[in-house]
Amino acid sequence: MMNKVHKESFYGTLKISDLDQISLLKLSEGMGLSLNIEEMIRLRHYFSKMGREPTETELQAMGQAWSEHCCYKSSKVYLKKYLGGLKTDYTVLAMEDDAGIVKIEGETNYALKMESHNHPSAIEPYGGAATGVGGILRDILCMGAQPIAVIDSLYLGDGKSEKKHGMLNTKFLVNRVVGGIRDYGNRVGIPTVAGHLYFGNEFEGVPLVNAGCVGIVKDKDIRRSRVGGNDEILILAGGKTGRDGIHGVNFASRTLVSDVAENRKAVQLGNPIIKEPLIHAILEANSAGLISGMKDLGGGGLSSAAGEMCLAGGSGGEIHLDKVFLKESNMAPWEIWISESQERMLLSAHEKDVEKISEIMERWDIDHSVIGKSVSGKRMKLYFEDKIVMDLPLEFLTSGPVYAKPYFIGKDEIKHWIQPPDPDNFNSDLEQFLSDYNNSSKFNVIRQYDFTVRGDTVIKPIVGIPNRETHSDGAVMRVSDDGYYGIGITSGCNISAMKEDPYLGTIFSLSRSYTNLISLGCNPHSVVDALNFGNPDKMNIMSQFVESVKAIGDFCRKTILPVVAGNVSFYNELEGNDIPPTPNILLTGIISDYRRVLTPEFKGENNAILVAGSSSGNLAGSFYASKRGYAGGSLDKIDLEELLQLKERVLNCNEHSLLESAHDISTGGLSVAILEMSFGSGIGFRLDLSGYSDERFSNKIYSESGNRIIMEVREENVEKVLKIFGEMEISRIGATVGKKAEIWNDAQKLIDLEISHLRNIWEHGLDGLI
Amino acid sequence: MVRIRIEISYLEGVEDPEASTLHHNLGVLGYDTIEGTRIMKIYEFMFSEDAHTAMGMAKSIAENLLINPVINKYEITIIGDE
Repeated sequence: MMNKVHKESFYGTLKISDLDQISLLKLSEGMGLSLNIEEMIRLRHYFSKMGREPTETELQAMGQAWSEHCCYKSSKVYLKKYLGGLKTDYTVLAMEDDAGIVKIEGETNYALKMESHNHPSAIEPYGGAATGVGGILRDILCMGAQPIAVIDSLYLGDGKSEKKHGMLNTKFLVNRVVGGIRDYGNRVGIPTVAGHLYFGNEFEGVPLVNAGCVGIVKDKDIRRSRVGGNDEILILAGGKTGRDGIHGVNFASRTLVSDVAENRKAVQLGNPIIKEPLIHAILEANSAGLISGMKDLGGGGLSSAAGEMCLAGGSGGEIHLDKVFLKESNMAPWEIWISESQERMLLSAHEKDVEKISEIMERWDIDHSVIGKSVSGKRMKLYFEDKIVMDLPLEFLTSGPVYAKPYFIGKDEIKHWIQPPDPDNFNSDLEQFLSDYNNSSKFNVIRQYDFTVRGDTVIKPIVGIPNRETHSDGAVMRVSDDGYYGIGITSGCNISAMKEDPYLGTIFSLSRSYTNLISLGCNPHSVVDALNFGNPDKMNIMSQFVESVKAIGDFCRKTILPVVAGNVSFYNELEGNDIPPTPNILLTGIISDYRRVLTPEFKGENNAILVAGSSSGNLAGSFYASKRGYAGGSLDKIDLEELLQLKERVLNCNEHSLLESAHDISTGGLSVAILEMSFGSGIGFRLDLSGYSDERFSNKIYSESGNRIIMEVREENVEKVLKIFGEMEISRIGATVGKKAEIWNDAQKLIDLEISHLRNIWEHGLDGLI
Repeated sequence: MVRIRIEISYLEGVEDPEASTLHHNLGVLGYDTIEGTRIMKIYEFMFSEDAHTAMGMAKSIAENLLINPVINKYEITIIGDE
């Protein structure tokens, strides 16, 4: 039992050399190691070669270091194969440390990262979501960067199906997840500015909570996640270490069982009241040049952080576990070593600077203690009350197994064209469609977040005139006090498309993020992926993963974007049901003058409405088809060449101030996109889609295919815009006028509704849930 | 009428950030002999049923709505039966 501590067991060893396979597996399960039989045999073999038996701490450390979460054993091969080498000349650090670093201009860089916190959020949504935010903030902080924005992408159940046994009620979960993000983000003083929300029964009991963060760092302040050499002092700063979060990584590396009590040990609650001063203290010590390297304590706790920092710096380490500040007395050394208690950072420093760091920490009222040092020779030695409890080579600890798990790519070559029958009445069909959780406004969630604290938010998640706001395509953050550079941030994944085809669906999701940024006037700049998948031991899930990663590689090579950081979360399954593949993309873009940023709301009456980019009118992968129950359609390939042309032309038009507003066509198709533009100001529109394509009306207004952006252009600028677009497909489909939504097709007025009426439906769509 | 009190608290080992902040700051203000601080939430319900049925209902309310068994525990007490 975890809480029973017999001190003599700290120093003794466990006899594993004579255990057979069944007993080895039993031991792995009994100790909560989550290692499989091959891995246990490898351990037995290693220790018998060494001529000794392992200590309890050593076994726990191995279970931890070899977990899927820490060593990416199922995904590494494919990540390397498809995403390796995706860098650009402005990439400073990609896929190396805790976060990616990308140059903006001069000496200014941004750090970015996104991570999943799915398993903890499933069983304790409030603490799970909160610590997701806390963890990602530390990832950015440990690069030496000032966090400026938090991003949250949530994929949650819709509560429309029956509650799964032993899992939390959906309404409770949704409210608690949002509450956790709100309370942590708002209290720590970093704005929550962007993200994605998807509701569907596929995520019932298996919620996905992906938290991202962007920070700003000057060249001189960038810190690596490694010690600067031998004989450096290791300092643990921030929160105290407790039993919370023990075996969190092992827990995240297996399938959830629907008995919450079983999962209890892995839960943590965050404490933003400690985090806020910790951010100040770390940044102050760092800019004074006192810190040589640092790493946050996330999944894997001290074990991961200390091991990786020493190894990356070419050193070994000696750590005195009894020097770690504890929340509870009588913790065993292994518990201290692998605890995942929140709000902790590990710093390395020269001996002469330790006192100065201490002064800063004391001024900010931060607990800290010297726990050891880096030493020559790549071994990690752990002491508890001056007795050795672990002595292992770091290379063995970090030599986790790598699996090339089997997958198949059996492409169905036959194209399936889906065609839901036309509704009897397009008006009521649209009203109903708009009220769906996934089409309606997300204000009930966004308005809980502080998205303006720090005063750097140029474009908020909510834009438009007061009391008639709409959603922006993403957030734009100010970079510094001098100059006008801005970072555009968007995040999401198109689940309807992913369900149809993991490869094309991923390209689809990426291109949606790409068009989001273009619509803001930003030039797409770098990519971070948070890959959420089901159980990788199943061949079809592994196939989804491989195809999706390949798609990210192909997309980024074509559009010349670096993939600078990422995270993989497997085993998102419940009772044998896996989630749809969900590669959540965090895409950032740069605008050199944020005063030119674009927003989606209509700015004036009698302006032309143009749609740039082509569409096949295919409904496959659209939310409309999915909602009407038409699955199994074949997605169109996205023309990436056209996407690049679209970017160049839209940005060119914006440079010349020719656009009043812009919005990309995404979930819900043309209809939802144009309504969102209208909702932001109350200005209506009249469209005539007769000449737009020869598709049926419902395909025209609901298809999400292609790369398309709707633009509002003043009459006197229309010719200039058309000239810039040249040969590229662009259609004039109508004009802004009145206060109604009117859509004509073949001389028939098929949509005729008041904007205020539609906006009311849209604004209150989530009221029943949150 | 039966008055029932439900007390919700954190399970042992779960850190309550509110309580630890309060504890820390009391120390700063000079109340430095406090060994531990806990914060709990108390609900009081007035039921029109008999004590036995009311207890069952209170238990159901606590388990289904008021707590998450992963971090919380509860205690139900009858504080009045008129």
